[in-house]
Amino acid sequence: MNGRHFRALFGVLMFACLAAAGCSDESQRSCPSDFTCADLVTNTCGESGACASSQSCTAAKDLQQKGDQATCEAAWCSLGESYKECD
Amino acid sequence: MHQRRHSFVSRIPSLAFTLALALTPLGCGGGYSAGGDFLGATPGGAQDIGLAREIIASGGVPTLDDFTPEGLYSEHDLPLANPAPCDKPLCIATATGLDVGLDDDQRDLFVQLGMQSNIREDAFERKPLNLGIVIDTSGSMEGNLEHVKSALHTLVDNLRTDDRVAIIEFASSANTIQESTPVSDKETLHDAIDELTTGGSTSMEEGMKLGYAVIDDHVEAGRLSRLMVFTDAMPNVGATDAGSFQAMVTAASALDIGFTFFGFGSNFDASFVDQIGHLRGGNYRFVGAEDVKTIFDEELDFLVTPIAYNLRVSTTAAEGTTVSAVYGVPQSDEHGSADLFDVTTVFLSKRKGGIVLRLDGATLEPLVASGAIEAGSVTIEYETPEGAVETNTLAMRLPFETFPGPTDALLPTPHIERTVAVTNEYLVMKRLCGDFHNGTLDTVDAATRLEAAIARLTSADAAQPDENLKREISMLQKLGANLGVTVGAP
Repeated sequence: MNGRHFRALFGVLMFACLAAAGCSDESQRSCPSDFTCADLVTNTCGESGACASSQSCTAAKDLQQKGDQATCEAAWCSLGESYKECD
Repeated sequence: MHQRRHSFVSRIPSLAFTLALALTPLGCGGGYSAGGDFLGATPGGAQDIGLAREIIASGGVPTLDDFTPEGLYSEHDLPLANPAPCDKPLCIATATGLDVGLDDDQRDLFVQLGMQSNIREDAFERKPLNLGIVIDTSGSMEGNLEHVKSALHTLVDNLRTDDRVAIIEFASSANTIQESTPVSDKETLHDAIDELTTGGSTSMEEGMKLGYAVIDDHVEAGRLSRLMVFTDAMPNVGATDAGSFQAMVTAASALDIGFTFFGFGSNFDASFVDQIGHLRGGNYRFVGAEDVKTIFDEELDFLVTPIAYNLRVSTTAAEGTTVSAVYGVPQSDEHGSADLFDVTTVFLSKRKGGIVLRLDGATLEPLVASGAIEAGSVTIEYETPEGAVETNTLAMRLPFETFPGPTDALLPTPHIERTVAVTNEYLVMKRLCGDFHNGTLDTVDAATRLEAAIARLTSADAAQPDENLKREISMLQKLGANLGVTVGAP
């Protein structure tokens, strides 16, 4: 097996693992079935509000206020990187 | 490379010049329009009916999914005759006309909500961009690739050194061709565009996700963040439903990242994009074979500049009439009713756009007061990009010198005549194309309606010459031929 084939196989296996975890690719996060807009706020603003001034946090709170569950899931599960997790 | 790009441009100057002449604010020299070279505004969503035009030009009949009234209005400069002085980036005023609607032969009141801005064209400079260019390089784009490249080259040529740009391509998977970078080396961008090839399936969801992720780090105040998607909009990998994309762009718009779809090819799924493009911060444009220069040289700065969000319109019709329809609101079914509706985004435009309300005109006498037909009022509310809320209440009023007879039209200015003529063009297209695809087209009746629509466009063009109206007349004549309908001269 040459290097190119190895990398291809590795990629396929990685993709399969991520898919099994509920992610369609490497950049997508896994959303639990009971994911809510409150989870999005917690994830982006931080448990203690450490990231309360971040744009992601403000946007998450707006979405929570609107009660838009589908968009909250999209924000965390689809956009992923665009909604920063509060470290 | 430059030679090739120039050679493409050289093929289209005559049309571009013609369009440029046509798009020169015609209302400004007619003695009716105040405001000179003030810019206009148009709702988001469809910015043209280019797909329908292409289908008709190639001998076909568009479906009702292929064109919208807001797309048609956005192609026209529809200033009001005597608008009140405008002191805000977005001003809305009303004008009213009375005419037969050529879809159902009912004589109704048509109230235009005209949009203009206090921003002068020569003083306007758009904010710097944080741009993500997302390119569909799937197999279905093969026939469009050179056209897409021409559009991309022209786009890059019109970026400024204070802009940032990232380039992403997607087919079976998505790849970042160019990380977000200041536009300092355009040749590198041109080279990357030249190397694009097509093949594979269409993972549009992955491409857009990657695009958002790549530009997200550079979202900042004072910079317009926007994803531009170049596609035929036929996703077949990952999410393929409009709902998934609606959620994605809504989530991104909460982060102040807008989006523009540029559609390519006669297979462009305008209906799919229309379900997404009406959302906050969104618009879309079909890029026909001869549209590249117009769109990317002349309209780019306006397509990326929202001036109002969440425009809410509530109408109070006078007793004796009702608002029966609204034309020009993107995805109007999802944005309220005729009495209360909203437009998520209004963009700056070279053209003064509009929304048209249609009110039942069957019984006019109870509405008459002080030499005018008083049809009620309309209340406008919108948010500026800075978050301020503006409100205004406007009358729906049609003054007359002589009360119109039972079948008379009453169009007090060439401006409202043009708006109503264009509205009737849409209504006839909708009726005839719908009947054709339902198998219920009556060719004699269709000829009568087409001739009436053409007569109105001809009259409006005579009152205020407009190359865009002449183009509409030609298109309706060609549509008639495609339908097998003989249309006489107006």
